[in-house]
Amino acid sequence: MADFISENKSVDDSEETRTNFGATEDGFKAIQYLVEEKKWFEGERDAFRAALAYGAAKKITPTVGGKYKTKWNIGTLEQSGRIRTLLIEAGFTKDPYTLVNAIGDAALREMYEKAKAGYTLSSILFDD
Amino acid sequence: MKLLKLTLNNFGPYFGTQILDLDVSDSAPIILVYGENERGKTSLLRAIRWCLYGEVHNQGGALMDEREFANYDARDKKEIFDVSVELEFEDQGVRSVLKRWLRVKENDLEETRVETVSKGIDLRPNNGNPVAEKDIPEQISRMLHKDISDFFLFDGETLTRFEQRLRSADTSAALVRTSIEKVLGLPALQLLSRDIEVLTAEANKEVQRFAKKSAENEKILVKIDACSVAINNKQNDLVELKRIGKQLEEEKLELEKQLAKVDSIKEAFHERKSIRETKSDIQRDISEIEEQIKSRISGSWWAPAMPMLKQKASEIESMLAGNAHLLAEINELQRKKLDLQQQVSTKKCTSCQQVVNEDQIKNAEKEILGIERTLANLPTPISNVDDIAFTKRQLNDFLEDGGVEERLRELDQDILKRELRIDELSNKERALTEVLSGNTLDIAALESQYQRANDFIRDSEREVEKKEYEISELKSDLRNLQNSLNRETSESSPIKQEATLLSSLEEVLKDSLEGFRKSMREKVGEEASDIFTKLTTEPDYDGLTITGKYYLEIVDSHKRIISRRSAGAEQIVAMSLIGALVRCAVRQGPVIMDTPFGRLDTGHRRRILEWAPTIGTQVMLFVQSGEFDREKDLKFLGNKVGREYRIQREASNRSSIVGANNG
Repeated sequence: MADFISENKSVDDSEETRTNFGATEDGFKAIQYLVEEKKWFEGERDAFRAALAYGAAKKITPTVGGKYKTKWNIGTLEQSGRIRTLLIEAGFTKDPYTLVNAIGDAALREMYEKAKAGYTLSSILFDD
Repeated sequence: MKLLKLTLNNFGPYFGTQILDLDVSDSAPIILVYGENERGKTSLLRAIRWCLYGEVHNQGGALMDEREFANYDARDKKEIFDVSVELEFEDQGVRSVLKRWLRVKENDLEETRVETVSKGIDLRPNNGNPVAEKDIPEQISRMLHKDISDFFLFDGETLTRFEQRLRSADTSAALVRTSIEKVLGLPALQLLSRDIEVLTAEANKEVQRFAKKSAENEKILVKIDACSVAINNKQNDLVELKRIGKQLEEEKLELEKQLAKVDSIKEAFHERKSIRETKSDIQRDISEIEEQIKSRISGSWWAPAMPMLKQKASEIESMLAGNAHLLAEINELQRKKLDLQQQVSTKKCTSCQQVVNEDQIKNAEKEILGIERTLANLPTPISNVDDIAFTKRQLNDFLEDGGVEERLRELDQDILKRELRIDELSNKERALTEVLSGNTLDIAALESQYQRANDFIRDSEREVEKKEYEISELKSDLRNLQNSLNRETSESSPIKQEATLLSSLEEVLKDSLEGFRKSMREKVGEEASDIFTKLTTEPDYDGLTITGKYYLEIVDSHKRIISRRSAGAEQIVAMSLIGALVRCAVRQGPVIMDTPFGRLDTGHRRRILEWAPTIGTQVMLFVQSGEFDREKDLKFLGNKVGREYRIQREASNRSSIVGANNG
C-alpha cells in the first residue's frame, strides 16, 4: 500500500503529534470502504476508534513509518481518556498517544482486508 | 330418456358382473358415485357411451379401441370371454334393454393383446319385438343423438372444450353449433323448409315455362329475372360476409392467443414487481439493522477490546482482593506480635494479667521471631491502591454495556439471512427479466384490438342478418312476382295451384324457422346467463350474452365483455351452456358428469352442488374425495340424492361397485 502524503502537512511518529490524529492514505481508503460500502460505522471517527479498539484487543503491530494525514484532534477523538486507558491496558504503556496513528492505521488495513474477504463485522471484531 | 339399470361384464376394471340400479325419482334425481383416481369412474361413463354409440373417445379426443375395455383379470384366464354393457332405460313410457357385447380372447400378437372373436348389439323394447341391428343406431339417435350426447354425458376434465370448439374458426365449431341446434330441435324444421324451397323453385320454373306469351308476362318475367339476379348477388354478398366473419373470428382467436401470452407476461411482470418490492422491503430492514449496528458501535466503539478489558478488570479485582487479604494478614500478625512483646516485657499475660513463667516468656520470644520471619516473607502490599482502584473504575466504565458482542453477532446474522433472501430473489428476478426482455407485446393495444375485433364481429353478424333479411325480402318480392305471373296464367292450371301453395308454405316456414331459431338462441342465452349468475362467485360478473354462433361471452357489471377467462371460469361458462341446453332441449335425457369439479374452488363447487338437482330428472355425479367430501358436501345436495355408490379397489387393476348409502 502506498503511503499517503498530506497536501498540507506530512507528519510521522517521530514528530510531536500527540494531540492530532489520523491515518495513512490506505488507512483512509479502508475507512471509506468500511463506512460507505459496508455501512458499519456512523462516520470516519467511529471507524477509527473501533479500529483502535481492534488493534488494542489484537495487540496489533503498529504501522511503521507511515505518513499520516491528521484528521481529528484529541478533543474530537478522545472520550474521558478511554483511548489512553485502552492502549495502556493493551500493553502500549509508553506514552500511548504516540502510537494512536500507527495502531489505528494498522488495524484499519487489517479490518479492510478481512471485510474484503467477506467476514462479517462481528467476526472481524470479536473472533481471533 | 331415463336410465334404469346398468350392468357391466368384464368391462374396464370391473371383473365379472357389476350391476348399478339407476332408477331414481324426480324428487331425488341425484346419483352419486364415489371413486378415487384410477378406480374406474371414467370407465363407467365410457361404458354408457360405448353401449349407446359403440364408440368412445379418450380425454385427448382420440377414438379408443374397444378391445381396450376387456378386463385384465378376465384376460388372465386365457379363455374366450365376453365384455358387455347392458343399459335398461325408459323412453316415452317404453322400457327397453340395450346390450352391446364383444367376445374376445387373449392374443399377444395384437397391440391390445386381445383379439375380437365376435361382437354385437341388441335392443329389446318390452312392448314388442327386438329391433333389427341395423335400425338400432337410428333408434338411439332419436332418444339421445350421439352428436348431442356431449351435452348430457360429459367429462368435467374436458368440459371447457365445448366453448373452445365454439370459438374456433374451423369446422368443429360448425359441428358443435349444429349439435346445439339439434338439441333445440331445429334440424327437422330446417329440412322441411329446404325441401319446400326446392319444390317451390321447381314449381315456379314450370309456371314460368307455361306462362302466356303476353306483354304483361314478359314484363313480369323480366322482373323475375332481375329479382333472381339480385337474390343471387345478395347471396354472393352473404357468402363474402360470412367469409369476412370467419376471418374476423380467426383474428379474434389469434388475439386471444396473444392475450393468453399477455396473461403470462403480466403474471411475470407482477411477480417481478412483487420481488422488487420484497427486495426493497428487505433492503430497508437491512438498512435499519445497519443503523442499529452503527449506533451500537458508536456508543461502544471499544467493544472489540471488551474481552481484554474484562480480563484486566478481573485481574485488578483479584489483585485488590489479594492486597486486602495481605494487609489483613499483616495486621493480624503485627497485632499478635505486639501482644507477645507486651507479655515479654511485663511478664504478665495480656489477656488474664496472670504472671507468666520463664518458659512461657521464652516461647513468646520464639513466637515473635516466627512472626517477624513470616512478615518478612510476605509480599509488600500495593502502595498505589488508589491509582489501581481508579483504573478499575475506568475499566468498569468500559464494561457497563456488556452485551455488545452478542448483539452485534445477532445483527450480523439478521443481515446475512436477509442478504441470502435477496440473492434468491435476485436470481428469480433475473430469470423473470429474461422472460420479459423478449416481450414486445403492447398489452393495452392488444386489449383494444380485441374489443375492436369483437365489435367488428358483431357488426359483421348484424350485416349478415341484414343481408339475410334483404334476401328474404327479395324472395318475398319474387314470390309476389311469381304470384302475378300465376294470375296471368290459367287459373285451372294445377302447376300454378301447386306453386302458389308451396310458395305460401315456404314463406310461413322460413319465418317460423328464423323466429324459432332466434327465440331459442335467446332462450338458451337467458337460461345460460341465469345459471351462470347462480354458479359464479365473482360479484363483478353480470351474466352471459350469447352470440349468433352460440358462443357465450361473460359480461361484467359495466356491460364490458371479459376478454380473458380462467380455466375455472371456462368450466362454469361451459356448465352454464350445458345446463341451458338441457333445459331447452326438445327431449330430456340423463345428465352424467364425470369429475365435474376438477378445476373449481370450494365456492363454485358448493354452488354447482346446489344447482345440480335442478339440471334434469336424472343426474349422475362421478366424484373423487379431492373434489367432494361426503361429510361436508352432501348437505348441499339436500335430500335430492336418490342413490349412492362407491367404487372400491379390489386389486391394482380391479375395482368393484358397492352401495354407499351408509357411508
